Amino acid sequence: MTGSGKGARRRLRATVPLGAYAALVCVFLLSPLVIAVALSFSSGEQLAFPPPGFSLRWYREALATEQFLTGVWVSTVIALATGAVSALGGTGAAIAINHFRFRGRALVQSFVLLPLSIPGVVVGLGILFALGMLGMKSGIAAAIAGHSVLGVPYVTYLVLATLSNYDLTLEQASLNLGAGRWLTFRRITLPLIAPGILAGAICAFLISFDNVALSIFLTRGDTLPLRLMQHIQFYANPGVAAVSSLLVAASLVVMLVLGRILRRRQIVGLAG
Amino acid sequence: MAAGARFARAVRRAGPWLWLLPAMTVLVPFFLLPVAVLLRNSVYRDDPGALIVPDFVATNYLRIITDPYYADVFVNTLMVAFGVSFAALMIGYPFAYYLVRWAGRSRPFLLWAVYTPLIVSVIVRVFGWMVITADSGLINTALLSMGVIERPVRLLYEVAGMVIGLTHRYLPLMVLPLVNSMAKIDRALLAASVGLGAGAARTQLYVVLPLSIPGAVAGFQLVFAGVLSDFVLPNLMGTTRFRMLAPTIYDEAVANLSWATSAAMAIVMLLLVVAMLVCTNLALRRFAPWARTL
Amino acid sequence: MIEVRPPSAKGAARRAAGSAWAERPVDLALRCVSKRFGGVTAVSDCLLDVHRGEILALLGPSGCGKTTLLNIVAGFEDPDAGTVELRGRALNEVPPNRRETGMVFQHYALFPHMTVRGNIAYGLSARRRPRHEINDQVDDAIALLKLDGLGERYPSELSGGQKQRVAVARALAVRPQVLLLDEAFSALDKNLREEMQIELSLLLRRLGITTILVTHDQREAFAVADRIAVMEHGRIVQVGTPSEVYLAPRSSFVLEFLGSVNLLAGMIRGRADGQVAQTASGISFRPQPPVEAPDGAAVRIYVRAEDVALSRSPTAVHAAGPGTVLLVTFLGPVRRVVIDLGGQQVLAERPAGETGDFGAGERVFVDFRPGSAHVLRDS
Repeated sequence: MTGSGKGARRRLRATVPLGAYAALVCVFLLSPLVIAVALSFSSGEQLAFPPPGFSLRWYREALATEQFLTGVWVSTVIALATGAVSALGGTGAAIAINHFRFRGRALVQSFVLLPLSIPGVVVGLGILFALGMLGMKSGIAAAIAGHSVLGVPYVTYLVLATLSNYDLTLEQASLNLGAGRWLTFRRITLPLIAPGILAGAICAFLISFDNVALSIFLTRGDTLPLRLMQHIQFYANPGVAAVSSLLVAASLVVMLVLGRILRRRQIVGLAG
Repeated sequence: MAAGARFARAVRRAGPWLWLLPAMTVLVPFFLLPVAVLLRNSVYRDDPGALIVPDFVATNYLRIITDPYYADVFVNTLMVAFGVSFAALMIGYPFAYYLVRWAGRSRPFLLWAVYTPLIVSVIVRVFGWMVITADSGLINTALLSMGVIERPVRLLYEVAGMVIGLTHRYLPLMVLPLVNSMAKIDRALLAASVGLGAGAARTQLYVVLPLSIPGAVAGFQLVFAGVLSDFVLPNLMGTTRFRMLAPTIYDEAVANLSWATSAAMAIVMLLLVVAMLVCTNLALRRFAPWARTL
Repeated sequence: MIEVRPPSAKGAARRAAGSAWAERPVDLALRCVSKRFGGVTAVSDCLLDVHRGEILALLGPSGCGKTTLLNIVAGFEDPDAGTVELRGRALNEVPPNRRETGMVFQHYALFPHMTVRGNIAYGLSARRRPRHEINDQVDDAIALLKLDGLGERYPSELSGGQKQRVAVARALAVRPQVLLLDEAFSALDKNLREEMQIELSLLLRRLGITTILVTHDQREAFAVADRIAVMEHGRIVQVGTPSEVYLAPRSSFVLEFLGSVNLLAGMIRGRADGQVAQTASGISFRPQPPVEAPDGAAVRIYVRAEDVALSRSPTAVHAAGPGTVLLVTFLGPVRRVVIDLGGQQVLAERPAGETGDFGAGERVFVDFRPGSAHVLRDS
């Protein structure tokens, strides 16, 4: 009796300061987001906090700013294409690595995952130098290709993780039941790794949408993050906050979707 | 029949390479080739007239290492990278420990607080910090109104502001591997340790701490590599009096058109990341030989 | 000196038991099939005929190549040499999805994202059968395997036994020419396993479907199969009915793999009235059939544990001993007694009632049942 009481008290002594500390870290992690959102409703001109009053003027202004609108458009196009290219390339690479035993497999795996550990600036500068050789110019196509260099390994990694729970005898069962390779891929493999592919594609989308390190070399400064950067550097006003808030809202939606996908994967249970 | 079988066998042998085709279509021209060109350019010579001329010289490397203008950039960047990684470890470790061991019902919220900044655009995060650290921002307004200071403390556009921003940006990348490695520790191990007569502190020191080393190393690697090559924060929150590597490479390549110099700097950045990965993995193997390295 | 005499004409009866199958047409024929993985020979020169409607068990320890052989039949592995024929059709160049084999996998490999109905219908829809036909056949399979009411469940919502039924229903729904069961009972609990073994052997016999059952469990092979092919190191070492392989094992491997045996070292002694194998302690056995070995050749003498009788007094004619009881364990229907017989450990399995009162440390006389010894030349 006394023992458990002492234990509980010791527990409390350990948790209360640690809990307060954890709360403090949460404040640190979330405060810039909260403040960016709060400032977007400011009626003032400056980045002063607390804001002088409430208004929606910066939303009106942001939505009327041509640069932001084209930035959203350009970034969305690049990110969607990057998501698609990465999903295709990453899924193929993951299946090649997981399903086959071939010479050079380990090398291929390290090569495909290598871009994850190489600084974006290095890749961006390299692609900038190589664009001429490839007969390309900086712009949307170059950005899609560059972002996909980061997206492909991401999808590969996530699909490989999904495949590690995936029982290859399911494919043997499908073949044994008379389905050909393509039908087996469509009806067995693809549905079972779809959550991994989707999660990977969403990650690739997010990486692309938020990318600066490659975009500064490969675009004409017209993606949303670059527009926002220019805007912050030249006119520090709450207009950026309005765009930021919209981005935060969009991110939360994406996060919910992503969470839903990953949870569903657990419910279905890949091993059967 | 035999020809068909030979064809089928050929298709099967080509199988993995067909699956790899889309990935390689992206990675060979836009990753392998660029890195090769980068290497080549780093030994070419910058030329005022022809941009870059074929050559084979080590002068670019010699200059960026010996010329204090460039050497300072490397020193600054390495200092900040070490500092931020260390700070993230110090801040992140107790937080991750609390999250895994004690948080209970608040755990989903804490995890959410770690993931959300990761998903929100980095520009938004930087913008929030600018509002907090600006001369008329949250911190200074609060301190001024409390009378703690008389003039605003300059944080934004200084090293301090940049380091705060970097720590915030990369803290989740430290916390997540830590949480991962701590969550993997079997509760039975802790019970066994206590059952064998070790107290809470001893258990912490001899069981939890060693078993969380792989997570700490992975977090350190992610944070260090991230800070070393970060472009946004030095650019938006830093100062040109304390220059950092990524913006300098960008300026050399795009503003000064010194392709060879910038290529050499990029290669050195790459080598620094590789050296860090090798060293940390060696250290991990030395101090935690049971752990699998990356 | 004690002598164990051979029993009367048992061999003739044995030979007759296996011949019934030979009159049926051969459904599946393996001809000199071999397969190597790197430097390891998985399957070597396998010859096997499986007759129509027969249930044949491939029995052997793990790693003996039995699953590889099954995978070769199903088309998941290509043999390095030899041919596989199914109803006269050479299968070597036929891809797995056109082989008309039905396989039940060790862990069932049910498609987790499809319902029971979806799983059973899969093979039929892959064959592009019309929908009403698929529905009818799925209904039939569900009724056959007693899966009524489970059609809309997902595999994760089924018990182990139900999963196995679905796997069998799925394999049977496509009306395969041969059914392949890969350790299909090993994931079930003991009671359920025995129940399913009985149910499935009845069902397969009723359907008359040619079946190959891969198992490492001797009891399972005996319970389900008409004939057994024992495999060792990638080779089929003996094929026969369960009683043939049990009563007339052709090698020490088969002997040791099927049941508990005592191994006694012995030597051939030619005598006027025939050949005798004698142990160092002087127990003699009559090899039946005679061993091709010269006088003085070393032989192994095997006696199954159930062929060892025990008694308190040396009244039995053939008794050896006395020995000392080391351990008595209760195994349900039998008791296992471990005896130290002059430095040699001897296992005896006796009906539980018979030896109920033996205790550790007691002196016993050991009696090897006449004709029970299998004598094989030392290699």
